[in-house]
Amino acid sequence: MSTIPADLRYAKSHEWLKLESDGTATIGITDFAQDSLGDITYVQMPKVGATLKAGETFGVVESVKAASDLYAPVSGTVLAVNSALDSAPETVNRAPYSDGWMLKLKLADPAAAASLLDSGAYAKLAG
Amino acid sequence: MAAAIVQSLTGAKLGLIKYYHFAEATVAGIHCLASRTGYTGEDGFELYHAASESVALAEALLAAGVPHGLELAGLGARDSLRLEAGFPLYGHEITADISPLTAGLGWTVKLDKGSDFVGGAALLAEKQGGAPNQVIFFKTGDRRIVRADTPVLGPDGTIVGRVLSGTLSPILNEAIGSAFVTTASAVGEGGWSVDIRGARLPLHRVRPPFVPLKK
Repeated sequence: MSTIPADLRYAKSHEWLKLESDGTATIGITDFAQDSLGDITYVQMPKVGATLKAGETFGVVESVKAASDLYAPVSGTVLAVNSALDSAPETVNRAPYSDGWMLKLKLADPAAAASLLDSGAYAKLAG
Repeated sequence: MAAAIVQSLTGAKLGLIKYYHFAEATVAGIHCLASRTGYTGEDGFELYHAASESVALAEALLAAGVPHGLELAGLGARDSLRLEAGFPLYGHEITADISPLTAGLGWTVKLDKGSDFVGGAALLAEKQGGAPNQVIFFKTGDRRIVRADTPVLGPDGTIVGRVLSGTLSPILNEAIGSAFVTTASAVGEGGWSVDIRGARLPLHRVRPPFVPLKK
């Protein structure tokens, strides 16, 4: 049974998004996703300033089992990436919703987050 | 640790089984062939037994081992350990198409005993003519895993082989693996590289083991 915080929004491709009060968003992968991947060995991130389009790949998360694409849940501009994951990608396994965050994004359309799944809908997908 | 755990479940004298030897032993009341291999580069045992006894044996080993710190490990962990030790795995470093000479395992084949065997003539011809390909081991200095079947490029960018095994070494904290390359390309350190999602990573040749064996 994976953890699915109620205050986040979710993509069907297993990324989470947290809408911050200043209109930016933090993005990572869900507990379900990290558990399915197994030991994460590498996280490939876009550069700060990169423009992401909803549904398109923005990086790669690699585990011993496989390399999997990461998909942008919404469109926006990358404000920051979690560079701590370069040397400690296993943080995503340990703390997928906190220290294992991946991106901070300036949303192209702040209302877009509302179109993502809420925790109840995601639980039906990944519970 | 392995010997202490298995010994607690058997009357057989495991101390008499040398590294890479085996003996029959009744472990937790189950008839086994106990092989002092483990295929990890450290002291360990492989137990061969009736499939119907698997669960009972695993549960007995786990119960006996937990006080010693035993944890379960899967094939991913076993694969990193055997690669760090430089042990070949059938289907990767040795296949129906990769001979023992090509795999660097010529010491396992005696061609001078005067007795013929299936494949003997082919191996003798390969030994005399030189194998056109060979298996080499590498590390990259980078954490991105170089997966099996990734093309291996020579110094001029042409494909000179393919990766056979690849994983992340938790001890070295970098990707390690093996590759099947043309003997012509295996000059010095080879100058090989691979393309991982658009990044060109050099392969640094390693003569295994990658880490000292503890046997």
